Amino acid sequence: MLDAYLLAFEMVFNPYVLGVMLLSGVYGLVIGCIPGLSATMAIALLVPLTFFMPPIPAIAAIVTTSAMAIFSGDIPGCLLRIPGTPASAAYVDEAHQMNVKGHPERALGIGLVFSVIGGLFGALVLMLAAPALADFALHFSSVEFFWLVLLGLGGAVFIGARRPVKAVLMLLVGLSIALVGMQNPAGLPRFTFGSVDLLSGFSLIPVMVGMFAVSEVLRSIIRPEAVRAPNVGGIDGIFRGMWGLAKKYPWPLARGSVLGTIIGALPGAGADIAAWMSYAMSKRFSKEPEKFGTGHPEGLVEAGASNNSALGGTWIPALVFGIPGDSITAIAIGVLYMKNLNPGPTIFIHAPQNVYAIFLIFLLANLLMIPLGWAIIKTARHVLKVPRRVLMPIILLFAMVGAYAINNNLFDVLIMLAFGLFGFFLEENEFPVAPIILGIVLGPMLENNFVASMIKADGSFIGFIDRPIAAVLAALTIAIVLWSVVSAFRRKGEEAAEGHVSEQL
Amino acid sequence: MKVNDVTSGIILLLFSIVLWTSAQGLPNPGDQTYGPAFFPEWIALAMGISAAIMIAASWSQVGSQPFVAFDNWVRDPRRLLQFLLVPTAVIFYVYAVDELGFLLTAALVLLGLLVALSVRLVVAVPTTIGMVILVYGIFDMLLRVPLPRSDLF
Amino acid sequence: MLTRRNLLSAFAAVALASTAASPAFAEYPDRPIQMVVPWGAGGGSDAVARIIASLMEKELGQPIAVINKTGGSGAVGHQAIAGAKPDGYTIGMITMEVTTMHWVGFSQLKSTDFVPFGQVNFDPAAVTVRADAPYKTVGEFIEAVKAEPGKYKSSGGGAGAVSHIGIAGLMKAAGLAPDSAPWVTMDSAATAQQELVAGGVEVVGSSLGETRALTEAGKVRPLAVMADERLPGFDDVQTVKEASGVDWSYATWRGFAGPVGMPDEAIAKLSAALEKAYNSQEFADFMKNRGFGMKWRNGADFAAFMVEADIVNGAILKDLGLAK
Repeated sequence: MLDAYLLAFEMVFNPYVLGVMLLSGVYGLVIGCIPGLSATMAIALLVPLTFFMPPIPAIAAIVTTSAMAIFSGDIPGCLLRIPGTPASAAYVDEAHQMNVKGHPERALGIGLVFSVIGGLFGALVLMLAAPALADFALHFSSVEFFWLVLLGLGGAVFIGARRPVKAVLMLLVGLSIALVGMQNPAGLPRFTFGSVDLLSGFSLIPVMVGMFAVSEVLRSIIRPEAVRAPNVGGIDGIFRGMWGLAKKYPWPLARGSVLGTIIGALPGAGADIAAWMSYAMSKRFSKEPEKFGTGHPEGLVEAGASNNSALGGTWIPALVFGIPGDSITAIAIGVLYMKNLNPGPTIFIHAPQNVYAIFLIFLLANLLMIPLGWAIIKTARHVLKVPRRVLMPIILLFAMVGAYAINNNLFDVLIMLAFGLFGFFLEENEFPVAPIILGIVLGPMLENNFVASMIKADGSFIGFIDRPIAAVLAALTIAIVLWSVVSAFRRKGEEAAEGHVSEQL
Repeated sequence: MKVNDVTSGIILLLFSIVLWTSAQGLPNPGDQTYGPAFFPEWIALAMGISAAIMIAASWSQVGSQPFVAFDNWVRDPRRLLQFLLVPTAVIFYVYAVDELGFLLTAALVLLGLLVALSVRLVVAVPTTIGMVILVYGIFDMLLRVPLPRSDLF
Repeated sequence: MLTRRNLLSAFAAVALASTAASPAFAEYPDRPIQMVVPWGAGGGSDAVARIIASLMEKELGQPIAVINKTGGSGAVGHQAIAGAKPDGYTIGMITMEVTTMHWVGFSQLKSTDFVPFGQVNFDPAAVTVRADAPYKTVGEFIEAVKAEPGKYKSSGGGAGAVSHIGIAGLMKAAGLAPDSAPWVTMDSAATAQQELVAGGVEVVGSSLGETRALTEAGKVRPLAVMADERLPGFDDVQTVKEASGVDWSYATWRGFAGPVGMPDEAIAKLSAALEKAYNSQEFADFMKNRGFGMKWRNGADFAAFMVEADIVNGAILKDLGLAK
């Protein structure tokens, strides 16, 4: 084993691999920053380039790019309230509030430092426990996935929201949007209005870019005075106070890292879902949940660590069984095969040095994130100095091209516009838009697993709870919903005396 | 445009009814027990109930808040025009880009918006040229996204 | 002095020159080619398309950009190929679904809406169960289903997927109702394998290459392959016929094609480049490594094969109650 590690060291620590990592690091950071370009897309666009590389640099490029892109999605989220990638959408308001309060350096520092810690944790778990965790993940059938998704949805809307009813409604709007197209178990076109472009449904990226970026452009036009970012001075002391935060929030940090890794290891669920669940969990267990949404660091620590630790987690089933943990590893598996690194247990036996090299790349990529992340935050602060009326048209241009690039289809640009106007209207009326994104992300997974479970159980409810893990997840889900309803009624009772009944539900 | 919670609740309630009825019209080949309408029905049901709860909870707003209200910017012609320019620019881009090519269309859209937001030409022109080239470089040259080209460029 | 009129006429002259010049001087191909893949990045079809694209690039001297147009069980991507401008600069991969989706009603497209360059692959479906399942051969499995129809659930992907038709067809060939092992729709072959290992379904119809990692891990066991002969690289997996006497084989396949109406020069060059790519050592190594079956048919043979497959699949789908 030591020999294999020495070999792996040689494979990783050479100028070519390190050069590829540096370049793909910068690439990932830039792509993650641009609204409309997700980490998955960064990888998909990278695949043709990896064709011309030997196996280890090809893997290094993918791992580094995805880690950097997930982190740097936080940057436009914090500075402009436009999440760069879906994985940052869960806590975009929190990070932006911190910026508005005059602490962009703190929000970005949290994003960077705790992304690195979460990422390193995920990498260590991958190194030490990959086979065992992969075995655990294989116990999840459609029933367990159904409850897990429901738990994620319930947690996000009932715990995260100020007015749960509005959040639930927006979640259902998101789920309805996900109904469009042929990606349903029956494989039939639904609500496509005869349009060929809608056969594949609404792509997440154009919808998200519309809801966040285009609606922000519109808002800044009608209220140029209101959205001015206060801190134009600069962003200094990115790392200041981070040690203090780590000491203050050891449990959220640990919880975020562990949950992220587990969610990542479950096939089909990746960094974006991990961030949602961790943010909700953080609020649920916080001693000061009322501070959430006002620029409070706790949720950022937990969710920031979570989405990056998920990355290591997603590689666990991918390497051990060739089953992708998320959409990024689905692509990575293809590259592994192409490079003769067939995933499966034999890869650990036949070519352990390759596996160890991948582990080393994970550690290195996360460490590389510290200097590169620092550099991009320093660069990104200049964005705040650009006047909004110059910045917003530029954002619109990037948004249009980003929406187009996902399918090379101009129809998606119109979709982006429609959802931009819709998102603008919703925000004007104080409807939260983030649950819509969550609904679109999880809608197909919820429906697929629901229908598959119904078929397997022949429609009986017992089939949904007669397996141990499913029963636990079901109990948790029901507990969260009940707890929320009860506490909503209790609050309503208290406030009724003060005469604000209508504000509560 | 601001609508009060009763109005938005009613809109969502109507939407859930439309969703339910159109789900009934979905074909179900092979008579699957859990066909394409199964999940939409659940969504419609949940949405209908939630919307009803919201209407009930906000009922006290009736009388105190108007059903629909317009903000001041809608009455300010300049703001309204700038606002409408964004959708216009996107629609122009979509319909012109295949004819004019990416470089020219993107430049027109960007320059037009900058000028409309009263950015001085000294800033607007270099910004436009720099950004269009940057976007083209990232997407078309680096990432091989086929941005439309025209015979002009 | 540069007046506006001057500028305009200069534009016009350039425009005219460039449009007039292109057909006269250009020899196909003189610019990058797009290759549309109807399936997602990173999947098996995508990998085959990308390796073929990189090999054809060398032959044609122009970059080939692989574009994934997914959705609608392949209908969206196939439509993008058939509906592309027939100039030879948009081509794509077509898969077995061309011969099923118009029967199921996903699309109006048929194989005759394409001009094929050649077929490169052929992958039989297989019968794979959990490693701890009690049955040792596919014959025993069929007996178990016969004893309790409806108890053993099957999967392998979406409704109408190769494994769906494969398993339903196997049941029918064995004299049972096609839905004796009821189909559970999953969103991909990978999800279906997860479901199999987790105990959610009893059998999947995925190809041997797809299940190889889990087979090596000792989690699943292939019982038989739906082919006329055992597959190279999987010599210890019996065919359905030798294991149970039931005469049934079923497979998916992949090839490359463009829209109807392309110039002959483009068709000839693309077909020649594809054949060269198919015969290269790199391609053979890749396919072997991935566990994909190799099969070459030239454009004309492939076209004829698809017309035949269309009729066969239509009959099966009608039997199964899946055709419209």
